Amino acid sequence: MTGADETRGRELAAKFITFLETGTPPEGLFNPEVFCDFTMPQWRLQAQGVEDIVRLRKGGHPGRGRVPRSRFDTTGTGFVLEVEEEWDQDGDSWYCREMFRVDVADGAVAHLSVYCTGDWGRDLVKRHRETVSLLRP
Amino acid sequence: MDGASTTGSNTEAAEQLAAASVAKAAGDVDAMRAALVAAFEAARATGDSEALAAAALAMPSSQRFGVHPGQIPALLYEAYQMAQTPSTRCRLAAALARSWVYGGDAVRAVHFAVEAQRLAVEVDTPEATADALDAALVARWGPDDFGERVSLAAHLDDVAGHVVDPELRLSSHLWRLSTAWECLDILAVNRQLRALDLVAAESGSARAAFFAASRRAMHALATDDLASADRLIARTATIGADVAEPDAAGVLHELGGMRALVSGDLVALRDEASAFETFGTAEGIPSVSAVGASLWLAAGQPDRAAVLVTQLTAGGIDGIARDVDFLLTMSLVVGVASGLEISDIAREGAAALAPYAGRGVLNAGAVTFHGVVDDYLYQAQRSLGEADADHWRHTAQSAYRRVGAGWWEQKLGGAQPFTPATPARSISFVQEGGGRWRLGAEGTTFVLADLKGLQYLRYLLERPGTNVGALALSDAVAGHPGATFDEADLGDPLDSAALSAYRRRLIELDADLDAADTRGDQPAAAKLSGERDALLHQLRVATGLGGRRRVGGASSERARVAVRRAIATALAKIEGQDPGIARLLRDSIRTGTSCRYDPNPDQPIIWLTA
Repeated sequence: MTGADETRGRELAAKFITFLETGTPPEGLFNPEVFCDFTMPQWRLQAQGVEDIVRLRKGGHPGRGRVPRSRFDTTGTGFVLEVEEEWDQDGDSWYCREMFRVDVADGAVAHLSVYCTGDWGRDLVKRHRETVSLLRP
Repeated sequence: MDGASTTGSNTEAAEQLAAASVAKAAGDVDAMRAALVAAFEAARATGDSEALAAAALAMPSSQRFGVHPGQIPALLYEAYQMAQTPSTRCRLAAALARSWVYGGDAVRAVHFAVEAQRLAVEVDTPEATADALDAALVARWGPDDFGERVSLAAHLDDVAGHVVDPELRLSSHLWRLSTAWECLDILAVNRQLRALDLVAAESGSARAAFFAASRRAMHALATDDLASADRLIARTATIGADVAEPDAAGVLHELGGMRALVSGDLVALRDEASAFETFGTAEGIPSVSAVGASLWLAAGQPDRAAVLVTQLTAGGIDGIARDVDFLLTMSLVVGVASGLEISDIAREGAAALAPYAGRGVLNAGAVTFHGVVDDYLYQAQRSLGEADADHWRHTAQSAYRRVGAGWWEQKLGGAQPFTPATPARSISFVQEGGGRWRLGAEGTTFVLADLKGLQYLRYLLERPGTNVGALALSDAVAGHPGATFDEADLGDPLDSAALSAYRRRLIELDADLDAADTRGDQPAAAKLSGERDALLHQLRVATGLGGRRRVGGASSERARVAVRRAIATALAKIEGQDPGIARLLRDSIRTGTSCRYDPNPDQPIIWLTA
């Protein structure tokens, strides 16, 4: 990957985080024919095109959210983005960890593979904190 | 107390608060603090709880980070007890939490941070929530609160998006920036740097501009962009001179120390090491002393570094407080102990650091980036001869690549065997009266006649790690810095024809100058230089090009050749007297269109040029 590709990858990753936080994809983020393959702990969904992807996202995350931290690494065809997400919904607070493998074509996200831990509610987060002492939080 | 005196005191409180605002605007922290204390006392005399709160709430802005807070927490607590509304109590509780942590007593802060969060729920405004979250973050600044801190910072960022108060927005972005650096989230780092720029631009706040410039400078230093760092440090200094920010001087020292480290500027390293040692010892701030120790080591003064590390670990490694500065202090202690081969401290310190592998090492507020924990683990294991040293080198290298920290990655080097730090040598490179030069280490100095190449060398030695264009170098040494021109920009045939003649004469002059330098014939060199300068001046006048910036072209090429020749001549003269110094210079000076002095960290030299 060239320096210019890496710079573009970082720009796209920053835009992608904005999409995760707001539910609205910034201009230039997605290729019109973008394909998404979304794997959850015990389910799998796919979407093709920007509208379908936005619909898929809003199905699980209807409101705004937060991305407290992320890790960006380039690959030969785009980048990998690892994130934590937090959001509030139905009077509860939610948490998940996700990995996105992104292929870039024509300067935009063309293919997206998503691996998600599933949504952890406040009680599960609390129980996990009480049960497991993480080596690296 | 009668009504007249009450009114008088109320007026006095208001007047003192106004005086504090004036002092703040003038950047006079001491006068601001004195006026606030006077306002507080006047409000206390009349039992005016709101004025009392107003004076108390403004006081922490006069506090220096890490320095004992004096009476400020006591005055805040008095106002907190007298506060009439949940909103005021919430703000005072949050301010108390901050004041205790800034004063180096985080344990006392927790109760007030919890109280601020409870009251914020009751008050239920974005401002109160943001203030309480800031207090919660301050109270969870230790190394083991990282996960919670990351989440709180994201929450604060979310809430601060709904407030216009620039101070709250500033605080929010600084927290996100700090946690982003801690987890090496470079996307978030860039986003928060942009957000700080926006707060500064939208609010017009000098304080916000100070934070924006200083954190950009930190980023430039971390990512090996010295030119931008220099520009941003200068901007930070300019803004800092006018803003009532008690930590302004400290921030500039932090940036100056890191700049010296990254550039290998031994004189600056020595100056900053001394400043850090003095301040850290006087105020009893371990992290400041630890930075001093690491700078002394880098400056080639291992004895001074050893004294500080011994002091810092006098109570054992466990005596280093697990507070906001734990990772910084412990990492630097481990780094210095590894460099000095103090095995027990390196081993115990590495064990204490290991749970925090993968994290960035920062000082409070993300003023400077001190590498990653894995780097210090590598240094420790390497000095101890442990087999897993290379594992930590690899993980540190990976982290540095992700954030673009080129200097830090380069410093890691290969997996070569450990060699202890070599003390710095001082070598004179001084021009004396009469134009002669005195060079060499003490007791073995020698004298050379003036040579242009020596002047070029001195200019570069005084600017380690800095690219200097050959044309700029030539102009600077000739005494007319910034007067660069390049005929490549001249499209007119007449000008080009005239330039051909000028070029021929300039080439002759350069050759004559080289010959005069080689002979050590200073009168002839001075005469030729004068003719060359006059010719350059004529060119500017004739072509109307004065002041325009130009890049590339024949003048640059001529300057490149002239500078290279002059330096080669000077090095040959030096070699005739001291081959060791000549070799040292040849190994560390690069000439070309851009020239640069890159000190060899394995052979630290303090060049005495004045």
